[in-house]
Amino acid sequence: MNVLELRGVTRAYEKGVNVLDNVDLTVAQGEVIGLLGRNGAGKTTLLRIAMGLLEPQGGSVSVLGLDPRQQPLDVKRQVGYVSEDQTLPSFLSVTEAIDLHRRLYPGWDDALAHELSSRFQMKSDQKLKNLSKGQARQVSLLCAVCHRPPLLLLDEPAGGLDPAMRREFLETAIQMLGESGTTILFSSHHMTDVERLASRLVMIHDGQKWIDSDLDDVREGYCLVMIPADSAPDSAAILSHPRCLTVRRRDDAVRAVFELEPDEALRVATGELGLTDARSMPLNLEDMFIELVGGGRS
Amino acid sequence: MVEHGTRHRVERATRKDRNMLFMVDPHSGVPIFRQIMEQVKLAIAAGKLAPGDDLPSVRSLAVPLGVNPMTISKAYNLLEREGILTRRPGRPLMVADLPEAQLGAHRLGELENLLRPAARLARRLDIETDDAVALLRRLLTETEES
Amino acid sequence: MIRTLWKHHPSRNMLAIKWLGMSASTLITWQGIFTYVLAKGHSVDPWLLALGSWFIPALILAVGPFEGRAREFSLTLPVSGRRLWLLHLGTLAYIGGFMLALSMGLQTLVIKLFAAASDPMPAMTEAAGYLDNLWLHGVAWWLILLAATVSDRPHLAAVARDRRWLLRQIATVLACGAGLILLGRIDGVLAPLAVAAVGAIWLHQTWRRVPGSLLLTDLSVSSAPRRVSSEQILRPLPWWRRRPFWLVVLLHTSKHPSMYLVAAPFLALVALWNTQWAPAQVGSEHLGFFYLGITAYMVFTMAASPLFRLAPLDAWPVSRDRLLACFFVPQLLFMGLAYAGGEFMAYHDRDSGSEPLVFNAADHESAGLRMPAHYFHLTTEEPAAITAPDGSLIQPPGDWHVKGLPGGVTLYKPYYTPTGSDIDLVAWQLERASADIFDSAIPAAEFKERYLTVRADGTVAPRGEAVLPLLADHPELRVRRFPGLAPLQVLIVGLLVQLGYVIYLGFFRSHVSSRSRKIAFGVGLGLYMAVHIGQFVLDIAGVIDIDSLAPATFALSDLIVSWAPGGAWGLWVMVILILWPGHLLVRHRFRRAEFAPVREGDSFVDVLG
Repeated sequence: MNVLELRGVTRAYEKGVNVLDNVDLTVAQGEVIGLLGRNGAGKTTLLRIAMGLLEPQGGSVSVLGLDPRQQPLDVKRQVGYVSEDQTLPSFLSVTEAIDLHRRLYPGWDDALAHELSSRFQMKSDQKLKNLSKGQARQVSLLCAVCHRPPLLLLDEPAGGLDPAMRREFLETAIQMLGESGTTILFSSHHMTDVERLASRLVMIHDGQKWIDSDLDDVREGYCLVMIPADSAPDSAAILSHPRCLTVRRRDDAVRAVFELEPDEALRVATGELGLTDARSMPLNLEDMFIELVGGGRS
Repeated sequence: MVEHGTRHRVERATRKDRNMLFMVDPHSGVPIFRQIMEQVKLAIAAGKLAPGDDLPSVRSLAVPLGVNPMTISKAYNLLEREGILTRRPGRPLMVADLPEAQLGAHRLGELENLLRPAARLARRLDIETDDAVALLRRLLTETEES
Repeated sequence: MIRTLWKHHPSRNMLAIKWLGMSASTLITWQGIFTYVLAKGHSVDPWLLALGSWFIPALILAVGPFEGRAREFSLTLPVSGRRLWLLHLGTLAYIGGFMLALSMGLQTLVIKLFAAASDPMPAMTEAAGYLDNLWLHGVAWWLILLAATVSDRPHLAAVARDRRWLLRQIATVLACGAGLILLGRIDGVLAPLAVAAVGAIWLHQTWRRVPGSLLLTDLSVSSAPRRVSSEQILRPLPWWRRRPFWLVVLLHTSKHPSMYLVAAPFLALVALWNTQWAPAQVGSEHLGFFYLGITAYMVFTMAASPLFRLAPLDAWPVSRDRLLACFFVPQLLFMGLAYAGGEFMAYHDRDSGSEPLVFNAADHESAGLRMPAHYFHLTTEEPAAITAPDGSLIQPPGDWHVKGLPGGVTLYKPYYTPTGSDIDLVAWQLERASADIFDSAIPAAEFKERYLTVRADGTVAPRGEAVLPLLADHPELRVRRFPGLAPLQVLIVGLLVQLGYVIYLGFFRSHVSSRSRKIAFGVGLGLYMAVHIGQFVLDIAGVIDIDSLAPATFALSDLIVSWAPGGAWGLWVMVILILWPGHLLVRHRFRRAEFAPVREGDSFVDVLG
């Protein structure tokens, strides 16, 4: 049974603007999906639909075999959700917040809670409103994770955290993967975190899925071809190549993303397209993100 | 065949700093699983991992490296497919008993990986083959002396 | 520059039309009630007037969300601390002044208008008499309150809302209120002027104390948080240390939880107005159904405003039904308790309840047996003639037409005693009346012996007081209750709230902007208020006549109880059955609603909050 299945999910806020347009997504148990996309591209909407907080206008959703709108409690008990708008009541103390979650969720694991509280160096029992943003986020994370949910939905969980806290969050997630075979669907702008954690990459842009494949296939299967501008390359001609995804003119070079390995892409560029000055190089995730969905595209 | 004494020393050394054998760089252009594969091969080639040695478990590497355990699994599986690692029933993955010739080929393979881009660069810069070879010789001599 | 600063004042969103509108309508209602009561001829204690018109705006100013003086952004600008402080003072004066003017000013204006009429009512004139003092002193003492609030550590950009601050503010309000009540009796302008002068001097002194730059926090160093072990942090809490879940929900969904404190007395008072006790205190026992609009308003507000901030709780594995209950049950229970308290008081507080039966001698302008209108009977034809024990026919007058009920209904008193009736007839009617009004009848013989006498000219007259001290003389005697009132009130409020809430929930879909939701909320409030005010407007316009309609509703409730199978209990069951489908619909809509925040640009309404 797949942990998460979205079929033909469509969701719009304004008429005619589909934030999600007929999106399919299947997540098997144990997978870690890194969700990428510009701000407002639909990542949060997708996560909320998976959680049952929003209803799609079209399509179906199935979480652990359940419909999150029909059986919300059963779904929510098995999902850990961390998001910027999911704030804990600020007037509660850390102890009260944890106690509340212990009561709300079956399957609470106190041993894990102990481990995390010492990893996060929780030393005082203050009210949540007196904690720093990062500390409050850590409490949220602890509460979301300690009932060992089979599915974790994380909407930019490391947003605003310092690198040390980000690393601790990462280690926590990895530990959950190793110990419980947790499935994780997370969105993030920290590409290094995505590189480390994700096994699969999904990129949402203009309501569509632009990429949905293994992270390593993406890393190895795409590359950047750069042509200096003064050799006047024809962007349209480059774009028309079936393996070319985008073409951007930036500074004094034309940059094209190809769905090929660097050597292969270079052969195509110099051969088929006749761009003798072309150079090819592998892309890391951050550059690929910028190339694909950044501004200045043609 | 590695002599018993040497092997023993190597084993003790590896057991202590086994985890320090591997490092990953998520910024580099190389996918993490490949980095791990390369590092395992390098470790074997350098003698840090000898045939018959157990490899660190996936779980024990995942958290310290900060890497998805599936990535490490993938690297190990691919190495197993290449014959560099073997799996015994009920026991962790270990370095395969590779004949010396194969080990030697591996070592050369590592060097080849590093030299290939250098060769490309040499061609692009229009450096003469003899000059390039002389440079390599000089570097080898310098390294031996230090 | 000043404009920019003003836009960034932390209390800026308090100026939001919706917020002001809400408090304005609430305040107006209270003044409306008092004015109405005065207009009906009953006098109102000056301190009661002050309660509504001064205390409430003062309380809102004192403990409302006004502790922020300048935002951090403003502090980075090249503007002196004094200027910022003055801006803060101005903003508070504007907001608070608006509320005070609305509350006291309107009330004063209306009463003065009534009193200045060609044939003023004595109650109005009396009220107008002390109103001058009330508003003069009110403004003066409000100035003191303002001075006290802005003089609390004026070097800080924001004061912490801790327990100490809360106590201080409440104490200040009480002190100023006490000053108002005590000194408010002094006539003339000198006294309030003196008080105001003190306030002005205080403000000036504070202004001089304000440093060149405001500080974010004090120099005071709070003690470092205690270090506790993991075991301590992760320990399960015993049941008595846990905050009840519904309280967590209510506090988390409220932008300013302290406003629950302000709202609580409102809730209680609104509930009390629906009983027979509180209106009786101001002499209008028969207003049973006329506060239902504002009751619905309060219930709707309490249940509807938390929805804006429900999103953070949505991921919890808590059923929507349970959340819905959190928004209705505590408030309804609280109001129910207040209502029960009012009924309890009405039952036991026999001293304040006026004696219902009155017999005036023939020379009195309203001669004969008199009783409160809400014990009258209803008929659509001529009132039935009554056969007296001596065989004569008594025809009760049926000229009191109830305007507002269809079909030509009249109120009549079946215990009518025509002029010239003999003592036996009067005693007989009094016995019949006592059977109707009290839980047990007082025999005619007792009336004849104890309470009636025949005068020299043969007319019947009361032996002592015209107001027969029956309750005083009979300790076990109780005025009977109207069992149909409560279920009918619940039905009407229930239907009103269900209707509004079902429509309102339809706005909680993700494609509906939060601006639309807020507008819907405001419209809902406005409609409930219109229902409430509408009654009085219809009364003034002559479409209905509350004076006759109100008592008629009591008789109507009795009629309905007699029609309902199973009497009062049967009526309750029917009310529940009628409200049940609405409840199911509300529940269904609530389950399907989407509370996720809708991110959009800064529209006008969004900025105002």
